[in-house]
Amino acid sequence: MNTKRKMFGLILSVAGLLMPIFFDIQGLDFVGEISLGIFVMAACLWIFEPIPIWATSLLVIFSQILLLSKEGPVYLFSNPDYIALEESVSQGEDMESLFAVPSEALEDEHLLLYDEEKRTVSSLEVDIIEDNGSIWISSEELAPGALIVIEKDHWKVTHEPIGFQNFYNTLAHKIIVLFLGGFFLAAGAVKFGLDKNLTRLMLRLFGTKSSFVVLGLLVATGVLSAFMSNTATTAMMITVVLPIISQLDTGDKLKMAVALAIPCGANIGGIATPIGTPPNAVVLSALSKQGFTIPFGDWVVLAFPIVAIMMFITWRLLLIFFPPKSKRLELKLEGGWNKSPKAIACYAIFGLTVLLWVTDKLHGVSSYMVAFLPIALMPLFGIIEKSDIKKFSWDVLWLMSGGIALGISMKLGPAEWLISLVDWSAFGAFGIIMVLGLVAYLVANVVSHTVAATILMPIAISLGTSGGTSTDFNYILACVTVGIMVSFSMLLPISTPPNAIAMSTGMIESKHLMRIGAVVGLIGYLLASLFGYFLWEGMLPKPF
Amino acid sequence: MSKIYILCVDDEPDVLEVIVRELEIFEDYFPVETASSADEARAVIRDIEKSGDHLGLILCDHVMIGENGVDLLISMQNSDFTLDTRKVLLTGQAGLEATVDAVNRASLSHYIAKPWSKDEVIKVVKEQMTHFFLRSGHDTLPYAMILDPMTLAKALHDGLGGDR
Amino acid sequence: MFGDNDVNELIARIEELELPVFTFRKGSQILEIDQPNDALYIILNGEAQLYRKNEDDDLVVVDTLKRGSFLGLISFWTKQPSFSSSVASEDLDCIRVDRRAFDRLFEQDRVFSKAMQSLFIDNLTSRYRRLVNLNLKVDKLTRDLEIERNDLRQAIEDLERTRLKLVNKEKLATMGQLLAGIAHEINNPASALLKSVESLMSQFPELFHGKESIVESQDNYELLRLGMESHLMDSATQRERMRFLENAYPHLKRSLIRRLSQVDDLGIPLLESSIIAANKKAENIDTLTSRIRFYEIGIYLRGINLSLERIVRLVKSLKNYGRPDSGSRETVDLRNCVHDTVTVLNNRLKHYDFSLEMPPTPEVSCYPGEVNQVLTNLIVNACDATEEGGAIRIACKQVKGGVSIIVADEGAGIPEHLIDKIFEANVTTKNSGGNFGLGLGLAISREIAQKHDGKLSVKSKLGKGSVFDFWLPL
Repeated sequence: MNTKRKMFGLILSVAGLLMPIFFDIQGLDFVGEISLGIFVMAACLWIFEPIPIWATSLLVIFSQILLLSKEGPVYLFSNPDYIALEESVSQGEDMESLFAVPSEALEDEHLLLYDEEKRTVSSLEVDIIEDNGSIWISSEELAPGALIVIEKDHWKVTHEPIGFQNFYNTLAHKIIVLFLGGFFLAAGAVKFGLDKNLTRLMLRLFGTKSSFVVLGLLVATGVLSAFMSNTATTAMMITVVLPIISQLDTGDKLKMAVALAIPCGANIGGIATPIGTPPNAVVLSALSKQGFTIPFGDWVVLAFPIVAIMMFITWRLLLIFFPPKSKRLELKLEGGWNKSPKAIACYAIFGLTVLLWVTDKLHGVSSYMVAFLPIALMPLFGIIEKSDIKKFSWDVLWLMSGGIALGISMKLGPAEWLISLVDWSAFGAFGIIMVLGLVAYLVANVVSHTVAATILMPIAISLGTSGGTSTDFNYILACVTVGIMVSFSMLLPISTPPNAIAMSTGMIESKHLMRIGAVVGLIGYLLASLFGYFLWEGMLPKPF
Repeated sequence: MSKIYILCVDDEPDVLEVIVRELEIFEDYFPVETASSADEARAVIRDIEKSGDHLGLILCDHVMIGENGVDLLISMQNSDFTLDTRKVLLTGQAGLEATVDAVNRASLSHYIAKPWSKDEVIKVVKEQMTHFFLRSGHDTLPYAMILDPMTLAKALHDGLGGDR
Repeated sequence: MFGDNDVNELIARIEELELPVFTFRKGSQILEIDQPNDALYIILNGEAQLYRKNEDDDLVVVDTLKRGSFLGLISFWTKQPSFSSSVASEDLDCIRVDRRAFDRLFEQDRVFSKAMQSLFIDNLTSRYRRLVNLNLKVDKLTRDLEIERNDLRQAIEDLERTRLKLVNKEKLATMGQLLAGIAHEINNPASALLKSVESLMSQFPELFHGKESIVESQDNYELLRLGMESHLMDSATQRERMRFLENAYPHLKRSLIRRLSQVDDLGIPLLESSIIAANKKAENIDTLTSRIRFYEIGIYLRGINLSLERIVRLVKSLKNYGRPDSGSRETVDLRNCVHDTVTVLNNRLKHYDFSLEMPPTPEVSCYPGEVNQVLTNLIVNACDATEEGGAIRIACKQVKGGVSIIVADEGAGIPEHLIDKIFEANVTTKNSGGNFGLGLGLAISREIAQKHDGKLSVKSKLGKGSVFDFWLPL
């Protein structure tokens, strides 16, 4: 059945890509149709996952350079009707040349001139001499054999093409580099046990009372996942905690509380920083394309309160749903700090980078530039070696690049076309954000969070820029709110890798995860709406 | 899209049936196939390869009529398609020599002595399938519930598992 | 005595020659080994023995010297320490000639020197003669020893062989008793179990059927019965069925498909309605699962029944095979012996293309335990000689005046130069020995055949295989 679903997705995606060739879509020019085709293909492949999601991203970029770029074959081989200028007639004493052209080639005393390689179209002002039915033009810049476009509404004429390099640039987009910096930090932290030691320190603060141990796990996982991937953080926590909780009584629900605290902590903690989880980066990249930058420190200030409140709520919920039988739980974690020079250098770089990121507003150096600090220094000190780089989740970077690239082509028409399908006037300015957030929340439970954010960001932005909604619709607020809501999608075992890892422990069943996931998710959704409405709007820049 | 199979080979139908019954919890994630001889096993492997699927694990009896299990595993080690396949030998009476041969030439992943317990078989299959995933790079997410948590978590941590 | 004249002459002239005469009492030492000696003793009367130390430092008599012999001749002449100790073996008189006296007399007294020369020659000659005789004696001794040693070796080998035979016989006898004991112990619970399962198989289905039923359910009753009549599927067939069912019912999970695949074509229609209903709702799937379970219970019951029957059969064969011979001949159907032995050796034979041909034969008077032993030897040999998967044929049929049991293999065969010897002890064509690799199997087998006035013969061709014929008279 799974296979069927994937087959369905594959067929749908191919159909989506071919659609613009066979159907003329009202309200979209040829470029828009191709862009929509690419979007439909990507969305189907991402949602049904017949191929890995990062492979889809790469396919998006490939489709774009092939179908949309100025240098691509589609652009090269598709030509508007044109004629070569014939028969020059010399006229008058100044010997100006006259050419006969069909009337459809002219518009407002302008002529469209096609270059010899048939790539670019330029407009040329000409003098027109009409003579019983045939039109003559004269210009010093014209010579016999020049190519004149007569199909003026051809998409190649109306559309300003994009160079392929623009699509390639997404592979090294500043957001991607920011994330790469995060990867270096995480790799160093894992390599020199920084994550485990921080966990040890943090858990020590919470004592041995079992309810506080649960809180400690939530917080420790959350803090680490703000800087490392949620997946690696959860995995680390599970390796540390699993041997200890396996020894608890089978009937003790503390086991479940602990096994659930970790993925919840990771999912929520990822919200706290731009590099905490890919959807945050998707939001930032979408906004940066509109010319808006949210500093690292601003994001943290904005996200921290909701993260803290959600942690607290999750903690109370876990204790209510899964009341522990054991009153105390000793999490004795082995280990100590690595005091080798490399390790100390690693800790220093980690600390410095995080400090510079969080304080970017104070010193003014962009967090994107700070991100290159660990990238350059860690290899320099031998903290990160070739074998470590091989372990990086390059797929995550490519997944995001594809998303960013898709954003480019979405602006060529499909985004506006898509939002035109819905009558948004029924919703208020903030109602739209609630609806988009709900869609994002629901979709992200079954597809990748990054994908859900990627698909929805261009739509939110277009809603703001197209003017199809009430004037006080703030798309920056919409992007941030929706992006954060995505992270609360943790209903199912497959919703996020941390959930899946927690399931693999065998301590919990799907229903337990779904119970806590549903409640935390909905509360998170509502809380994000409240924050958005009352708080974030004032903290974020206004697009108008 | 592709499926990942578990293949059990034993020349005694009763034993084969017992193994398959014990592997029931895996069946909905990894289709279990059976074969009663080395030749049949090869035919099954060819079918799996032809349909574009993968073979994650083979549980193979050692002493069988015709070609024995170790020889089958060695021939699998020499084929690209089954190179990553985890190879587990079931045996009641393998001598040291055969075992050494299996470890050296077939890269034997694990060795289950007869008689085994259900728990042992499940534990070994979980661990070995997890290793298969980690080695072959298949996406572990849809299968996390059936894989070995410690092995998986350790690999995801050390390997800097990414979000999605 | 040699040199009598010379000695007498010396005695006569002792005074004149101014030579001292010494008398040694019996047992007193004259010369000591490794001590310097500067005189020559000439025995006048009595006897002296020469000693040397052997490797163990014991003193050994190397020569006996009498009247006219020299003592200390070598040491005196070579001026080296005494070569041996000399001890008077009876009271002894001798002349002592020291070096100064010897030199003086030898130069001045012609008579003395002549006598001395003559005595020298006599001494050396007699010593040489003794040496020659000694060598001859040694040679004879060596040869006698060799013969004795060979006899001994043969005796030891015979003993060892006898011992092995005895041990083997004893081992087989003990094993037989043990087997019979174990077989008996297993037989009782196994038979009881078999009875219970048979009752279960006839009574359990009735719970769902007819007037005895608690829950009337004709379909489930049928499923149970079909399960009990089902046959074990080979893996290829099962794969085929699973593929078919997967296509027919794509909504079922694979674990369910596998369980369903055991159900035969008669059972599927009974389940059809449940299969179709098992689409979405969990409880419908549970219903289907429990209905399949009826069929599975049938399969389990049948499986238990078959396994128990196998155990009971095996135990019976073991009992027959291993029973200790009562000491008297019995009149038996040899086919039973063949059958029992084949059952016991099934573990080995199953790896071969094995065929059995046993038309009815008259009964034969024999010791069944010993016949089993011969058969075991022949079958195990055949297995050892044949590659796994090769053909082994066993036949039991009536021939002129008796019954022949033939064990034929398509194995390595026996080299021509060994074919006459394989029935001798210690001849084996196997490289590595199994339980019967002592090379005794066929020797004992032929002994047993002869004891029965029967024959054990072989025809073999290298590379083609061997045919053993064990013939017993009626």
